[in-house]
Amino acid sequence: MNTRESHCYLLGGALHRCEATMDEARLVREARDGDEDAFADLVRRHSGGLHRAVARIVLDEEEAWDVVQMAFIKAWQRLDKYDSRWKFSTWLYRIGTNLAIDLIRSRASRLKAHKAGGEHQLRLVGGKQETAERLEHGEIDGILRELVDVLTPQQRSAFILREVEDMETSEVAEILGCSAATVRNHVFQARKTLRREIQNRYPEFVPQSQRGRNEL
Amino acid sequence: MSCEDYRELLTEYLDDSLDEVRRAGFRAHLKRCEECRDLAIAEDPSFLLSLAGRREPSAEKIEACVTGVMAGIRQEQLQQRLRPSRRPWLAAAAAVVLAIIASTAWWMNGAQPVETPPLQADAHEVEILEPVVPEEGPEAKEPPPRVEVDMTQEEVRVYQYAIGDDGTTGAVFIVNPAMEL
Repeated sequence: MNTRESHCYLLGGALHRCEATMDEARLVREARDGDEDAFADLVRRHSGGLHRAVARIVLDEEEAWDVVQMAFIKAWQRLDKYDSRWKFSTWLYRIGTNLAIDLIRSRASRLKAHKAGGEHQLRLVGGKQETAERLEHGEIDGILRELVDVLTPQQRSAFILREVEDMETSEVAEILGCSAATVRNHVFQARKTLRREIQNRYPEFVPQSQRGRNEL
Repeated sequence: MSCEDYRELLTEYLDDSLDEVRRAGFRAHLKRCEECRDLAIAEDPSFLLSLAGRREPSAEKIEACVTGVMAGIRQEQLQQRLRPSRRPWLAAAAAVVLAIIASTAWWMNGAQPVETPPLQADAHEVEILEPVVPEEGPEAKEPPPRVEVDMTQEEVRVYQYAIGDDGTTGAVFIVNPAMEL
């Protein structure tokens, strides 16, 4: 791809994003006017991404769907309070993340997550596989769901939104209702804890020379 | 950018000091280049999780979510429509009940204000009213003894009198009628 083509690609990409943003703004306006079909379109657009993030916070696929539905219903009820200066997705993720954090705080036991993690660990120890294959097969997803359980709700949310969902720090700060510096601190602490846990539970992923160096 | 260029960005990435464009480029390179990815994981094993593959929900799951959300919205709308209509009924019922209670109280009091008889402020001898007399036992037929109370400048009224087992001692409960029990 030459420079001119790449510029056109970038410009085309920016135009595409602009059109998508305007389309979403129209849907939000229509939903605020009571158009349920417009709101249903917003649900279709954002439910997948919201579920992905929420599922990694609450560590349960089905409960995550419940949280996602509750988040959208709350969003519908509060549409008159929605400030269009926010991205709709940011506002929606804020509602969904708060519900997810409330859920994990009120949940009585983490035993289900530990049990699931234990079964998963037995399967992995059985055979050595290349990291690339594991990434493709989604086993890393299972490890993630086990390991984030050792994080606080805020660290977990910040790490998942920033590092896994690849959202900007400023957006994560808006979602979590804190400063960008706080987000960075949460992510830093999460990485530190996860390094330790991976070293303890999955040392095969850490090269020999690095073992012990990544300890606290 | 070469792999060497991307590896030099690793420290800035971990410090979260990369701008979003270079950060996106760095992550995209790690997903494509196995060697650079392994080096990043060796430096910080949490990269293993940062680069976890995204699993998109199926179209069926998303449509089920849409259906659930719209059903929840309609249920909430229905409940809102039902909620206001109950209030006039409740308010009317409460008003009727209150009216009945008030009128009953007024009728029982004979529409006259209740007057408390004045008490003697300096009484030192109290006559027992409606004494509690046990039905059985030797005390049953004997009237209870008078109680002499020296409580000048106190408003008193005997409420209850009890006789001890030896027949000589007793307990007197005196309640100021102005007190709220």
